[in-house]
Amino acid sequence: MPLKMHENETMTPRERVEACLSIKEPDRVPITPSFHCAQARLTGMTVEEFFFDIPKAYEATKKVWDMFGGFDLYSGGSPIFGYYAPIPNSHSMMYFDWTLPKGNIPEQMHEKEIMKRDDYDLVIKKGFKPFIKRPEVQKDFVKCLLETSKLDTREWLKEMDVMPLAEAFIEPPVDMISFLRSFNKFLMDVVEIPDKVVTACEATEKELLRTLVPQFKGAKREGAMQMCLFGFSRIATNHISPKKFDLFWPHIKRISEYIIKNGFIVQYHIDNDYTDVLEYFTEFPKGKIMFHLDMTDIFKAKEILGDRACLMGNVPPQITGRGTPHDVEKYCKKQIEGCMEGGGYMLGSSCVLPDEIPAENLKAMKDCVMKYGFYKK
Amino acid sequence: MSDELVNAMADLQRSKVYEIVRNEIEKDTDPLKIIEGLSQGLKKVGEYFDKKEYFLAELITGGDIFETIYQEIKPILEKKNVNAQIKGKIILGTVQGDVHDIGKNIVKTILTVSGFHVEDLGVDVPPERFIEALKQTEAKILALSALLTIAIDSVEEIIKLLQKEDLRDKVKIIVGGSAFSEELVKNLDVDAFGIDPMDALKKCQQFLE
Repeated sequence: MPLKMHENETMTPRERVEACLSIKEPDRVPITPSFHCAQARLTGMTVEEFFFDIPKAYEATKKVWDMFGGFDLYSGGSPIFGYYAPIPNSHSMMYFDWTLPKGNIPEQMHEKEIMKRDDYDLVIKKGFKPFIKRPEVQKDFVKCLLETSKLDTREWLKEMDVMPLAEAFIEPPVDMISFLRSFNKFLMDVVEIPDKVVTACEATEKELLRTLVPQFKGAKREGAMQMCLFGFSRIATNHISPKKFDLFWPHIKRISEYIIKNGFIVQYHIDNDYTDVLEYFTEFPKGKIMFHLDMTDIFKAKEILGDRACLMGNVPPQITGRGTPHDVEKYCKKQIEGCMEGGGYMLGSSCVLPDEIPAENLKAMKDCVMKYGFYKK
Repeated sequence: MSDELVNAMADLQRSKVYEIVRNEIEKDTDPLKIIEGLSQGLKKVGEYFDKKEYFLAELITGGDIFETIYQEIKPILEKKNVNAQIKGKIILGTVQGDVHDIGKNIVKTILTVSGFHVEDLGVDVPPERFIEALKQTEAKILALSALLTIAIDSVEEIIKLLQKEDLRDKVKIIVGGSAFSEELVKNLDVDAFGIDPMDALKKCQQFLE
């Protein structure tokens, strides 16, 4: 039975999201907060329990869906996968030092200079393989895959006609390099040896694109949404100038084109602020890209990209985690009213919901959509 | 100090800055004059940042160039028993529950090269440690960093402890990091919110006025 969250709805969650992705007006604005471990505290578990127990995390997610009546996109279950993923990305413990959750303290990266400035030539020659520290995490990844395969997530979502947030995932070389170098060192490289950084990005593009091949294969099944999450956070214009962003745009563009060529929509999960470089993304055709925004000005994004890209976002954690329900409603109402016209807009979180979000704030977010987010037909 | 050093610093020409400084050291130039030249150059870096000609990347580079040279000159200063003037003491740390330190370290560099003595307590710092450090150093500024919104509970703990120890009105509190926003800090008993490293510097300088 497709999920219905309000009597005035005339679409299923899938139909609603698909309308937005095609830049059409659905029956109402979709409500699409991204979950990380918020389900833990909402259901009386610790973040640690939620993170490490995949079946329990899934049950907690289902419980939260029952508590709030569901959402228009699914992001749930334990995020543990990402930390054991045997592919080059900033969350992978195969390359980086992460402290995993303890009690209610979330996982955190201990960022340090793993790659030295002299190592750029090594990266250009051999890619990211020389930086694998813990090849054994592959075993943990397989273990997680096996546990997850026992869950009935696909059937449950199919019944509700709800799609998962994405079916594939990639980070660009520039982000991987930035984390290997560590933030400050990377930024100094961008100022002092930009050509070297760009060459290293170009040299490692194929290595990262190869990680998409099995993911795309797995996503080519009936009913799967052809959406690929393309996440990057380090070349934001609160870090580097638009001029410097221009150096990295070619490889970002090529990766995007590869994703589109394979029949997927690019879901830019771009943490930090990209307001000053939004124009670059107008190069892509309508309906082939969408944005999950963080600090980027969503109203500016609507102005520049509203005719071609679906926008999702971006209620910040300071409001959802620390504000009152009234603060949440005020913020969401302003955004809904400013962005809903013409379709192509979904109310979501900046990146993920804070783990400590009070239940009443999540309810306020959803209630706001039901109150102000219906399109007048 | 020569315009050449000031401009090389402002233009972030690391090798040229090092070359000029080494030549000046060989000529036995007063090390304080060298630091003054670098400071003038770094001040220009800050001005370019405010005008959005430079961004965080350039600010970090400028701070790093300055700090690298400062570490080379420090032994000379100590040998000559010359102390660069300290503007004020600051206790800095990432609060309990949070281990992120990127922003904190950038701010530390900017404050240090601008003449503050910064005692960095590191990350995941319990509230009691901040209080202890304030008492030991008699620092008048407490700078708290957090990326995770959950860490704001620790900030509230620190403020309560300062009030309990009768220290709250003897210390200025500045907070910074992605956990905070202008709206959020209105509900916290803090004195300033540093939006970026240069803003943090300006606010710390204002505390001293």
